[in-house]
Amino acid sequence: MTRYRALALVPLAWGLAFLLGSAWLEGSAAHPVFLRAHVELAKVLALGGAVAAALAFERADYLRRAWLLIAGCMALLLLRDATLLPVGFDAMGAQRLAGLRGLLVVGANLSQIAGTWMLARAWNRAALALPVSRLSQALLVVVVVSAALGVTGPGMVQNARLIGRGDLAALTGLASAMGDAVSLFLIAPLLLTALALRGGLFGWPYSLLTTSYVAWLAYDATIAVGPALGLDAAGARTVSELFRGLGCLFGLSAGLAQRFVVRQLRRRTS
Amino acid sequence: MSAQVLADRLATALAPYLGAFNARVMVKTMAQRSAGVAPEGLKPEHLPALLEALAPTLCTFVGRESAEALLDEIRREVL
Repeated sequence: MTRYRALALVPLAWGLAFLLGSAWLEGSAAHPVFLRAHVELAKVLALGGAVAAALAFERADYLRRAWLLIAGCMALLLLRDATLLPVGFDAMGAQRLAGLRGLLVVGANLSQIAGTWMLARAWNRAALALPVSRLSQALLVVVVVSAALGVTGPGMVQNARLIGRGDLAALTGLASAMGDAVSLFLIAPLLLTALALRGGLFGWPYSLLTTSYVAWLAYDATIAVGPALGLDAAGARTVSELFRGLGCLFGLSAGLAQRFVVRQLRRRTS
Repeated sequence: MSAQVLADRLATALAPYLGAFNARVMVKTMAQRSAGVAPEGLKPEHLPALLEALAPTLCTFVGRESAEALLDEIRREVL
């Protein structure tokens, strides 16, 4: 259990290091570079965690596909970020480049939703019993869906209005917000699975993955309601990047926990 | 070994993996499904079918190879 607890602490240490680094560099020319490096490194680590989890399974195993799909999301997001580098993508022309970035973001969202859906329905496939009443389950779903719509709804409405005015580039923003909303809805079944497996080794990947999605929810919430809470642009950026880093790092921890569980069982009898 | 002891030992062996709550529920569900008996009615001869019925649940979470390893371990622990 000790190393699983350590996996839960790694993202918190990462978040603390990020806050210290950000405070130290705030206002300097290095700060934007620091923020970008933080984002990309966090995504690479999340990708590594998902790949590590997937490769712990055999080819036909159910959760291998789920983790590969989650890895696919991060890989596509990193590819999209690569198009921001000054390495010749501008030659495609602004419109085609925007189209490519849009496709990559939509593909990433679809991959994330499919992977999370598979992980979220594992309890049903495994015939697990949920340790809460049907009423509590329904309440949890209402709370999670309301929170997800509360933080992604404004973005969906804003992008839908832009599309209505003929701005087709906003299709990417709409697809991204819708993808975020669906992924965040799945916090409910992930949390219920984590609760069902509480106290057992199989529950660790679910607990850590649920925490990752809650951090993503907080990331979206900071962007949506940060200014209304009195955060200035720099403060909102720092807080949102903190939650994005936590989302990625808890994803890394969840992937590593999944790998440790699978390998630990195999090692005992080999 | 009494039937209750067998059910308890199975639940105890599964608890570190599925958690105490689902370990008990699984033993009850699988006893019904594989042997058509309540946990109190489980006998050692029911064990192979019960472990076979547990395999899909374990396979879902840790894959076939690790599930088989775990089932072997539980078989050794319980008998």
